[in-house]
Amino acid sequence: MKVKLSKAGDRRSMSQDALAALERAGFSRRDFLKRSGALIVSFSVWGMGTEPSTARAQVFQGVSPGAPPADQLDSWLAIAADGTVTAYTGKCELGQGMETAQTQLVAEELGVRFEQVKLIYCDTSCTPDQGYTSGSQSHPTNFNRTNLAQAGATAREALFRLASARLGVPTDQLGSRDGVISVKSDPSRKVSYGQLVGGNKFNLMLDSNAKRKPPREWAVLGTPVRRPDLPALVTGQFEFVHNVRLPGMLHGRVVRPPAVGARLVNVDEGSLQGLPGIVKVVVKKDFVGVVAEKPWQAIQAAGKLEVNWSAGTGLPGHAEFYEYLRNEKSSRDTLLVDSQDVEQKLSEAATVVKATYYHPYQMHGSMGSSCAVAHVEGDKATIWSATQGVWYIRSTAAMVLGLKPENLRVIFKRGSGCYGINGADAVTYDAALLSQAVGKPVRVQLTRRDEMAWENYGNAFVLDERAGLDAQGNIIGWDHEAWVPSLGNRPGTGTPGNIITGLLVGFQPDAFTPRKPAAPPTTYNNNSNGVPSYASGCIGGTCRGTGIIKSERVLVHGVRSPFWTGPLRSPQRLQNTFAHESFMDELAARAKADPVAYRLRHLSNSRLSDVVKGAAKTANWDARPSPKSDTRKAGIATGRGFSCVAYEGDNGFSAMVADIEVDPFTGKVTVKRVVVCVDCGPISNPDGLRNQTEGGTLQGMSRALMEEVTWDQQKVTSIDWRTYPTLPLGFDVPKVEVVMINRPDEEATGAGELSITIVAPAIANAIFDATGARIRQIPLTPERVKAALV
Amino acid sequence: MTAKAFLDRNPKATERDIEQAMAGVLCRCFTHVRMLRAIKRYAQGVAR
Repeated sequence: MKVKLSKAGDRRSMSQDALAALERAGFSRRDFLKRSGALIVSFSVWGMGTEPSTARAQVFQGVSPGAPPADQLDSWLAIAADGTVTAYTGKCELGQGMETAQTQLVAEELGVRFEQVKLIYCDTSCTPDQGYTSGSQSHPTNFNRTNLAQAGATAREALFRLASARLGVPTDQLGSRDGVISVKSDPSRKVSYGQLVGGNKFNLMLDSNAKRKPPREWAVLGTPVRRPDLPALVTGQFEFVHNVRLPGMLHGRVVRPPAVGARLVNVDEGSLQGLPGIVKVVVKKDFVGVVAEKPWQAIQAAGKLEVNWSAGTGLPGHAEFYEYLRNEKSSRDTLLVDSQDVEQKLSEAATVVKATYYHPYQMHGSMGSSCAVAHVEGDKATIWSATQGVWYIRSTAAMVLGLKPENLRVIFKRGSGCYGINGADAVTYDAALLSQAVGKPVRVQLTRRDEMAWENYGNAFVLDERAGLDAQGNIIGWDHEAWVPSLGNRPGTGTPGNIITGLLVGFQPDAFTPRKPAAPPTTYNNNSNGVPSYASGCIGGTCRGTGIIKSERVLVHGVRSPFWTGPLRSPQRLQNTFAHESFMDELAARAKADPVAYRLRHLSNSRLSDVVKGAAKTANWDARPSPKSDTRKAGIATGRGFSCVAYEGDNGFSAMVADIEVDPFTGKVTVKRVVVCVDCGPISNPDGLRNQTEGGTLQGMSRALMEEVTWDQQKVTSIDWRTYPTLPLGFDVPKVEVVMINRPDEEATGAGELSITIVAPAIANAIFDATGARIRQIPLTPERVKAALV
Repeated sequence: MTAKAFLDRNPKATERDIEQAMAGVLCRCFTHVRMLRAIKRYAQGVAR
């Protein structure tokens, strides 16, 4: 199957990288697939083959023991004699574009070309410990006044000082371009970065006073630089963690319990008798795995191995689960805000509105099931993992293996899009355990079922909303009470039991400690978006919310989950925002007000108001109360819905208009057009931001319309794409229009979760607008919509 | 691969035809918008 370029123009419009990738592919994916089976990881296991000549032998003292210290410039940047810049970062490329954006950042601050910068990320042998690459924190962490950005600024000033001494000219008379500093009045007098420091260390602390390049002067940042990883990705040549091959590597499979809470009784190794290629059956407490010479042999063995398990602990019924959550007696209660006058305000209100919203468990559902490769040699181990936190895997895999963390090297290699804690960390422990048992490199890839049945799901939620309106329809008090189940989490520095494999080998998850009643809030934290955008967020006389409603209470009951939970793109923020933004629409309808105008009149934050206005303007918002007056007259109904959020209270702002059609006979909802307006501070890469916003919108649609984890009395029943459907490529893809507000004078915020957080309420509000039916439960399936229309 | 095989057999496919042909393809990177745009651009080249 040859990839044929349709016309010469296409070829000319392709970047060199893309052309090179096609050439390497030989235009034949089949040939590539044949060859890729033999890809060998060629760099040495201990020590980086890609390091510049700069010696990095010093003993680093960082966050994790042994991590490069964040306050040292040499932890972040090295310049080789040929002027090549190597930058080290703890924020990985997960498919979200952070490799490109961070490379732009370094090129911008240092004044070199994008191509001159080589970015090394997430390898415990050489990159700083920046925790997890998660939570819309990569931009706030590395693009403002600390870390990678500050390293770039510190290095540029140091280079100018060195050039000043070398050329005998004050720094203010020097300019730089493409890594060469020259005298402004006589550009023939010049010196390159490579000549100034090539191969040597800076030996400098990060200078918090070093001047960042102002966004208004950006030449590399702020431009739609193309992602260097894409050509290899679209031509099937990209090396994922799944493609890592080591000499002598064996293949493992795990055998997970058949039911939640089932314990291992025994394993009959004799059941594998006669099967070829079996190397070892590995049992450690409740952990069972097999190692074989070839992948198919391991798959066969895992299927044939006779394993006896105890019965599971039993699960609460799926149909009654929301009532089960609400009735859980034991809970850990938290108050986010409490003005202590909400009941009084509601009693004085002209109208009190109440509604309850339901959100299911949803999964990361990685398209390629998780994979890792580990090589445990005696007391040392090298691990290739798609984890979002290499340092945390180093410390927790060390616990699982019983080794010292400093004897582990964890190297990030990309996996399938994760969106949070998918199976990547669990399969990393799996590979490490199996490799340790056989003393050889082992590759493990989870089955689709094991990936889906045992990952840490996004939390289910029950959300009660109550608000009081005065005679003019103004909101005078808002009460929010939620029930959210959780179990486990990311492993962090020392809790491998927060994911399935850790539990199976005997570690415990974070303890569940009930707490009633909740302590009064002392500081405002809207990290979870538990507080609606329209509340003033006042605690102790300081108001840090984005709205004007002074009478407010937000109470959250954390309860024990029967299933693993963990961060899934916009964790808890998405669920809370579904309730808040749906309820705001209900209040606007009750007040017979236009939903956009009604929102604006309850907001105090200008950046949030600006994205609201931006989305409404671009969408040509039809200002009037919902629902439409001519609902349900005949045939297909159409409607428009609105939603907005100040993500995590202040980590980015977004607003959305969804135009939809509802077929009243089938209940099918078709999203025709989405306009989304985002503000994440200064825009690093407009194409990257657009891509994140479009992708978030589509994933938000999938989660709003289709996705829900299901189970029976014993086990999860969402185990493949039939039982956990996702948006296929061929559905009616809506027109997605992204409006970007650039804020060069503000700090950088997150961007990856801005659109996904507000999709479900925009669609639910549009269904209400079109039909007059309010649906308060996700997913908005045809059956649910049809039932609401009856 | 699905799009390529389909378009080689049906060079005059409409947008609707392409969407139907792609109905069995799942994507969790949610670049549907860009992929369909690329497929349509390729289709226009084939049709010419």
